[in-house]
Amino acid sequence: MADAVALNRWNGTDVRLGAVVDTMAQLRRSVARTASRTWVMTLVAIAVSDDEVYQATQVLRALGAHHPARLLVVQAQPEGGAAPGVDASVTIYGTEIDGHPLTFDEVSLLVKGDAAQHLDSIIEPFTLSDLPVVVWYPATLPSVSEPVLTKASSVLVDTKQAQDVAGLIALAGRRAVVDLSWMRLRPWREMVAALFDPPEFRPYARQITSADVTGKGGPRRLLAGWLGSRLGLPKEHMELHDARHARVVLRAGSDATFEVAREEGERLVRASAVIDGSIRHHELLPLPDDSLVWSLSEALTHLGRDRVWQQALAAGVAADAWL
Amino acid sequence: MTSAESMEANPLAAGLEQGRRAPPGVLVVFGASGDLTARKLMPAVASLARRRLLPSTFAVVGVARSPMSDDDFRSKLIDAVPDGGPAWAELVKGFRYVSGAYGGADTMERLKAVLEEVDADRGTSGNRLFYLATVPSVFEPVADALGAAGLNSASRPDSFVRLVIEKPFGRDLASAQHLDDALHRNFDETQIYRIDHYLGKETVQNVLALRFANAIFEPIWDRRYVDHVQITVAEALGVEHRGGFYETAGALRDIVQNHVMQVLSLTLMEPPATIDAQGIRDEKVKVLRAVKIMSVEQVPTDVVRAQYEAGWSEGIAVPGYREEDGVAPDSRTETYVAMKLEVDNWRWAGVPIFVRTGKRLPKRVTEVALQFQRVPHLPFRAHESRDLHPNALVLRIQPDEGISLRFGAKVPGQAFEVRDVLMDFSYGAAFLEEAPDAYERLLLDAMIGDPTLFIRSDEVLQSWCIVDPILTAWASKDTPLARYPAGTWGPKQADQLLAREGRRWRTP
Repeated sequence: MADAVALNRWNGTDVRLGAVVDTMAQLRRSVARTASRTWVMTLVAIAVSDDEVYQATQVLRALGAHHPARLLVVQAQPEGGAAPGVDASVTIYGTEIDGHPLTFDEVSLLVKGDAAQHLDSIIEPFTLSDLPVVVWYPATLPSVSEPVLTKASSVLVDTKQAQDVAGLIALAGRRAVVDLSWMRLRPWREMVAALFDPPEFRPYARQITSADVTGKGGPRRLLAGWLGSRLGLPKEHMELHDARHARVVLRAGSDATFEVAREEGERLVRASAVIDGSIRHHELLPLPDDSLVWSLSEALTHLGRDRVWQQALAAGVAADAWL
Repeated sequence: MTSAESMEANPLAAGLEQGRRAPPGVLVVFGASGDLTARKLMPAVASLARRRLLPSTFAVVGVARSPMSDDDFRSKLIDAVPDGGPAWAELVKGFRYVSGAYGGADTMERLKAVLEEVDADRGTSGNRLFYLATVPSVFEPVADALGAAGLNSASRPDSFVRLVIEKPFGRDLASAQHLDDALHRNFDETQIYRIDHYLGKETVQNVLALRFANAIFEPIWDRRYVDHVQITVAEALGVEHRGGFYETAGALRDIVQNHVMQVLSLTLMEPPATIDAQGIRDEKVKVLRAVKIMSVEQVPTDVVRAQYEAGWSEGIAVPGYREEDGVAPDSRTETYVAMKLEVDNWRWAGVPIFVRTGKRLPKRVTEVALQFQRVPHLPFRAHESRDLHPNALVLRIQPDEGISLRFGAKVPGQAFEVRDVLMDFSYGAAFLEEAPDAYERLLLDAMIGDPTLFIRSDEVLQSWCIVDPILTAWASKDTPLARYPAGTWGPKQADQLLAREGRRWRTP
């Protein structure tokens, strides 16, 4: 697949949204006559700083080259006493997949003044009819009452850096929330779960008495919450350690130890089972991809409520005291 | 153990959708030193492992005539997957190799002993998937030898034994029936998984999604709206290094009896009650039974056979079929077939199904085109609609998988002129996830025990019933063999096959 190339671009200050939509149609007509236009969703990133806008734009652009969503990056700037207004830029990108020309739109909006409190009305003219609207918060967590969420079929967040996730639990009760951190942990969860797939190891899954979970803050909290909620482990039977690389050790009394850990200095994960002092299972697995583009892609293919995540997050929050 | 049981028993598996993860088991590959194993099977195994769809309790045991140690076999497999990395090397460490004659009792005894060791070492639970990646002539002796050694049935109440075989399933109806009987001497039909890798292709399965997940297509998917159907399976390549094999096969056996019949049945079958193995395969075989069996006398009229001559293919001068390595200079093997089929049922009666397949055609393309009837009355003047053709819905199976719909639109301007436009949908441009390789998909299905995308015995036999009269007719040396220059869409006789009914082939 070729890199996406900007085919046409337009900027405007204090614009009417209808004019932006008309301009998009004109730009598209001028450059994309032969390209296919297969939409699957409108993807809206809500950013609060220039840095976030830059980061979200880069990621969405990489994603858009795979995936012809309408991409909307919205930066809300309610402070500063500015008059309500919107500055907009529209870019039409072209790329090629298997020789098939493909274009996608990217719209960036700077929403100023009080208008920033009404993002629902800002994004509405850009949403594609009959298709899901996915709202992504690249760096912050939304509050339950944010108007823009009324337009969202799914909300993407990342609890990697987040401290206070209690509001997220309330939001997840109302609409589908997908956590990119949970997506990145998915391969790890699969590897831990797979240790108990062999019939001879399966009974140990119900006999786990303690767990050590190592890793960075947010992911560690989720992993611990997941293990606690799935295995019914009380928090006092779990030890959490801060470290760069993830590692999970589960013990069933003194008889059995199950471990999944990243090999130091390698892009490999080691999964092992030691029963009665002897290694009964050992395998090396490739280190899963943990890039933002990958986790966003995963999230977009698993849009929907995830009860297991909700329980893991709640258990992780309840266990905050021992983090 | 089924994966569903594993999900229930493993509290950590909740929400991970691991229903598509293989259960413990051993993949026993007969023909382990061969091309298919290195080129397709092992890359598929490595990819499944990379996607974490194989359990740790999985192993491969290779069987072949070449003498080789376990370590030599493992090195060969590591070489077969150059991007496998340390994780593949680690997995391969548990793989084993047995050398010996394929049908030999001593080979099977050694295999049995190795399998028991693997069960003990790797926890493979007595589950076996025997994969015959060999020449077809050894299918029968291997199946018999497995039966004689007691390896054809599960050694434990909750384990499975399955047998995977690759096409060709016979050379004609009689030999297919013979092979079927031979396999059934030792294996139940439920244990036999016949692979046609075409069915593992995502876009072939997408035919089912298009037809049965959308309300708008099914009402027009019949004789009231469809004028005729064209199925094209075109290859740009010649026979390459497979001249010797191709001489014994030809396009009819190599493509029509299997790939074309599978695509045809999925396209024309009735909606199944359920998208499962029995639901789909019952409907496929029903429509195959509705395909009118032509008489031997009808063959020269309704079937065109042809062979490519030297020509230009993709800008390169290429030799004719008879000049290819391993091909007899007076060969009469067909590299091209075009035919007209009829389906005698309520849905398709009177709708001709035109099929063409060939080597050294201008490009590689597989597609099914439904050509719709003309509108009953065109309210435009002749010059206003001269560029307008009947609607066509094209299911592109490869490459550039997708769907195109041709319809008429007004040309902008003062005059009322209408012209064809093509609305195009490409799967590659709509979905993030990469489709798994066909072998990967089918291997996993066989391990899981889902036979939906494998061909059932009655489908094989019915497909042979359809092509058998053609083989009989062609057995006579008097049958004409047309010629076409490499790099063209086939002989003029194929054009005449449609032209006599006022139709013409699409240009894909």
